[in-house]
Amino acid sequence: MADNKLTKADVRKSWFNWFMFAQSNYNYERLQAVAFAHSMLPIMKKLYPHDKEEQKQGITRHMSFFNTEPICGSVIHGVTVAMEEERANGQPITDEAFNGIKTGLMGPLAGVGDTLTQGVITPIMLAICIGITNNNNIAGPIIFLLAQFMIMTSISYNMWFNGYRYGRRAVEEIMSGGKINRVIEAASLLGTMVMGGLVGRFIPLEFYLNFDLGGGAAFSLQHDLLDKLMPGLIPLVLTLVVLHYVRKGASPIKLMGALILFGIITGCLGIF
Amino acid sequence: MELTLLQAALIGLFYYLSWSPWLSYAGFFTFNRPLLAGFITGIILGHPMEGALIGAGINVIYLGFISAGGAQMGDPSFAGYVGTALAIASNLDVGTAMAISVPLGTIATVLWIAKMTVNSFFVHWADREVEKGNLNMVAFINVVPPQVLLFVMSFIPATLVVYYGPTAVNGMLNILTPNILHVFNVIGAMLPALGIAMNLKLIGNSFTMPFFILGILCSVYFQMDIIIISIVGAVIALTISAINYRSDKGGNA
Repeated sequence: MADNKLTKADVRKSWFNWFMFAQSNYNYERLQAVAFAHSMLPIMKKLYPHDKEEQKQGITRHMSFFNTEPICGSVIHGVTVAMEEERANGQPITDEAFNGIKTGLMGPLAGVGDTLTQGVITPIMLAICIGITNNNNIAGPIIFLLAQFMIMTSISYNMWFNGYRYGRRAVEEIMSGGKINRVIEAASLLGTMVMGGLVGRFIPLEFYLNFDLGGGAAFSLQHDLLDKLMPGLIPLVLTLVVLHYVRKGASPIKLMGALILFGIITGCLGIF
Repeated sequence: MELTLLQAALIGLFYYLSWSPWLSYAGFFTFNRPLLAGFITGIILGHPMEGALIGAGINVIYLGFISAGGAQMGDPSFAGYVGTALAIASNLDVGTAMAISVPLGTIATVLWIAKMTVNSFFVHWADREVEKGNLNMVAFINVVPPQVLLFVMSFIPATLVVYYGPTAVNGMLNILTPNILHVFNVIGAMLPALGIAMNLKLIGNSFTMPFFILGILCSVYFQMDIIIISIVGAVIALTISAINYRSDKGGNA
């Protein structure tokens, strides 16, 4: 039986289609379905060069609902490519098997991916580079651009090729061994701590209320009481209150309106 | 400062590019953020440093910005490009720029929702073409129709607001007194809490939240830089992870 082998260039072409166009046709109905099929085009053409019907079936099976975090989720595509290669070489892999592995992995990897890329890496890089910019240093945005491009591209590329190289077994091992939970746990801890740092740095809310105690002595609610208790208490409480409503499912737009209103009231009254 | 139509169009073009696939998916993590948007707008208008500073200020509001599952707190990119342009054109300080950018970014969320809705039609088109065996149409449909739609829906509004906006902003500035500016600053200081809370919804739990307080203390009380806080956080995270792993292994053996 003919050995249908993919070259590194084929796999790279497939990765490139995804890395560029993953969100191009993002939609409410099937989210990244068309983008997934797009990324499988070079693979199908290479694996079934003379069989139009097989190509068509292959693309059809990857037109189903798909949604994950595009950077870390690349490992799913890598695994799928490896499975498609096995299938083309005679392994009996059903459409259900493909769908099972894709839908089984896309949720957990969206969790890891969003935590890592949007929840941890980007806020840290932003905070560092905003700090550099605020010292009147034009390098801030430039460092941000280069660093983020390098980080995101290399994670995506390595995820894809690791998935392809080690296939289902590697991913199953990661999932069952709880490794993925350890990554989420460690990244969440790091991210939460940095969020605390950002709250302290970028929410400079202080009570302006002063009480005249007579005889020239004044009592500042902020400096004489709160700073002695815990510096940063107001930003902490504010964030926790907002978090409470976010968890209860309040829409971000409504919360934003509420914060603006609260800011107008407290600002006018001179509380903050 | 007077903006030419060409400058407004260039800013609109970069706003489109920041949501488009042409800068790869890494574009979402770079050109989509107000820090870089402000810098680019600044270059187009001949004030790169000013633009970067305004962009940095606007980006503070969107620090914890997360786009997951459709719930968005606005369009940071629109706030970044258009907000910076209006701020430079009308000579606004960073605090006022932040205050006018937030409503802009919030209104622009509509564009995003409309785009995701219309894109659904293209999926059915792709289904039909695959059925007919026109496989290359999948690549075409994934790229061309959604991008034409996105271009129309992003380039035109951004360009128009940048070109005609300064007149409206200048009218508004006449009614701004120091008291109102103070209120703007209070709002600007409160809004980052929303982005950070949305981020914490994802990563905060009973195990990690104590470290949130540790992070606040590190920055307010110990005045540590964010990069130092990140390193301390990484050390703690790796240590705890290693301890958990060891006890798990011990338990199984």
